[in-house]
Amino acid sequence: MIKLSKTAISILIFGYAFLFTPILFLIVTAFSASEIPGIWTGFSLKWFEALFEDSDLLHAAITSLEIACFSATGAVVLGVLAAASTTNTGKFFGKRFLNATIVIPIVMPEIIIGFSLLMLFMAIENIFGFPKERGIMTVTIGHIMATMAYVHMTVRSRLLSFDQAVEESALDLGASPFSVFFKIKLPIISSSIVSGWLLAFTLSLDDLVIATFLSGPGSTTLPILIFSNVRVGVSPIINAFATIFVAVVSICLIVASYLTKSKKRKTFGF
Amino acid sequence: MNKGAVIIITILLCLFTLNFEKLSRPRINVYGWYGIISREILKDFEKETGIEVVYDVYDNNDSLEAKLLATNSGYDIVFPSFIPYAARQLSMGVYQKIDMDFVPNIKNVSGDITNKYTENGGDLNYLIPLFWGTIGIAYDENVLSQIFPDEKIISYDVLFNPEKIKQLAKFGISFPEEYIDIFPQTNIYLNHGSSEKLHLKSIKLLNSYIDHFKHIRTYIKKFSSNTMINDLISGEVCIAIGCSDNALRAKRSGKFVNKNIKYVIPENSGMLWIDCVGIPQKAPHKKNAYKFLNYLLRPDVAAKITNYSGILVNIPDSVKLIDKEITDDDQICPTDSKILSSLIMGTPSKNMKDSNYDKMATRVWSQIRMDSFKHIKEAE
Repeated sequence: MIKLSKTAISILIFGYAFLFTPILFLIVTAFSASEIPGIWTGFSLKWFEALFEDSDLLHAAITSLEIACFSATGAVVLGVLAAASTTNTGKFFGKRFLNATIVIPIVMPEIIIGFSLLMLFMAIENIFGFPKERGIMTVTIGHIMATMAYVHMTVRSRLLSFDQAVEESALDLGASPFSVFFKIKLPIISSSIVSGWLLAFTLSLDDLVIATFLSGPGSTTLPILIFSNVRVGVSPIINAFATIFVAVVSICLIVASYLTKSKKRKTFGF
Repeated sequence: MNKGAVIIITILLCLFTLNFEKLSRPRINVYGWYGIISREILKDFEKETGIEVVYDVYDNNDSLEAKLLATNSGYDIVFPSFIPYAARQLSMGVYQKIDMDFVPNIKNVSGDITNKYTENGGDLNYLIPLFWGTIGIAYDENVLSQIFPDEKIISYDVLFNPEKIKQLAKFGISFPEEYIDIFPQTNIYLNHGSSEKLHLKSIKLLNSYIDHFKHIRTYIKKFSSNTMINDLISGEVCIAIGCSDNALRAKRSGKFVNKNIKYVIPENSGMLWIDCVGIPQKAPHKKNAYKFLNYLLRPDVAAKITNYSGILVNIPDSVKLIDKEITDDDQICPTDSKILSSLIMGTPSKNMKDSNYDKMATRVWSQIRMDSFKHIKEAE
């Protein structure tokens, strides 16, 4: 183990403080009895009680989680397929074009994605009468479009780095390209699929702009609700909610890292 | 691997069926501001009629307008602000005519506010003026009484007079975000309290506003309409131009941190704002929308809305049911006909020339906000 110098330690502390002070502040003030967020007037759990009575907030949270689950799954399916085809050794028409254009959603401002999709949905509705109104489905489609490129990037880098000889020898031994993909490639990239899914999930969870354009009746997401809330002064209920959220996410992360660690030990024997 | 996939697919299917079940019940889609109509009020309606209320929120009128102009928004009830939004949307034919036979409680909507609404081009057949309030000055009494000990804040003089605003600058001053909430008052101030030029739409006037703001722009800390409550409570600003309902919330919250927030409707130039309620074209649940509309126009429901949010409802019979805390402050809840008839309103645009002026005004205001004071030419 390398011993850290005093400067290194102070830089480390500054880095942690920069990252986590706002979150810590938010968590501490969630337990305050004050009506105004950010002021300490004594310990109280009343905002957590109020949170579970606030059906609008909970409903928006569930909607957001639903959209995030759907869109992350959709983005993973499309992203993996795109990555598999762009890294494929075989040549096909338009491959270079696909390679260049698939990352465009990353550089495209969200507001343009949202607006252009809205225009598209309106046009489709005029011609085919479907989708009849905007809602959870249209927001999900928008999020898939915005996050697919991120999944593509993570999976692609994994596909490029693994030994091509494995794939080639499987093909030599008579495996069909289909079974090569499912039996060899998929297990190898499974960890990058998981991280791609989580990335898409979090991106979808905190998107405000696309959701504002594409949402319809009954699809108010959590960011939209919190943002609208600011007009009447933010309530400490939001703090309480964020605290629970941070707790759940931390527990998930700890469990996930524990699971991957023990799995590694099993497979590689160290 | 396979087990994981099965679990994920089952979860997704469960979520999907949950949504499907929701759609089959009788319902109504409402698109409104956050924090005006409480869950209890909606629940009471659900109990009475068995119609489920899906209440979505927006944070500004532009989101609403985007939804309405993208045809077939799916909403049955919306609450647009009258000027300039609803006035403009009315001429675009965004709303459908309300059949008053289904809304008998329309008889409760009357009085000074309704008159102001129709005088300024509102149409009761399409949009009902429901929520209202004033735009005035909210300030921290403790700070202001120190700086101006012998003066009562009663007009915009304190903000528009360069000598006075200078003294307040270090305690923070907040102005509205949109020109529509500030140019009418500027107009009246520059005309020494007379409102005869209020409805003129000329480039010359805009240039006079530019000249005026040149002297006071440096003292203004921020331009924001939405964050007034937190700004006043946290002490980031000591005086703000804003809505009466936000002022009431700031006043309530101020008590917890020993701040004495006061609100005043400035004489001659108190602005009236109105939020209407209407049914968009192609609303999917029109019959349920009528029931909801009729419910909102009941005096007891109106009073509940005011008590919860501090926003006044244009139903005179509801005033006696409102909490004393609100009715005692005659600036936040004005009932005196003298004050009410003195309130001013912005002017809706009627033709191309007007909307051209609106564009220019938007540009001038954003220039002022960015500290640039170039005059505009008459010919443009």
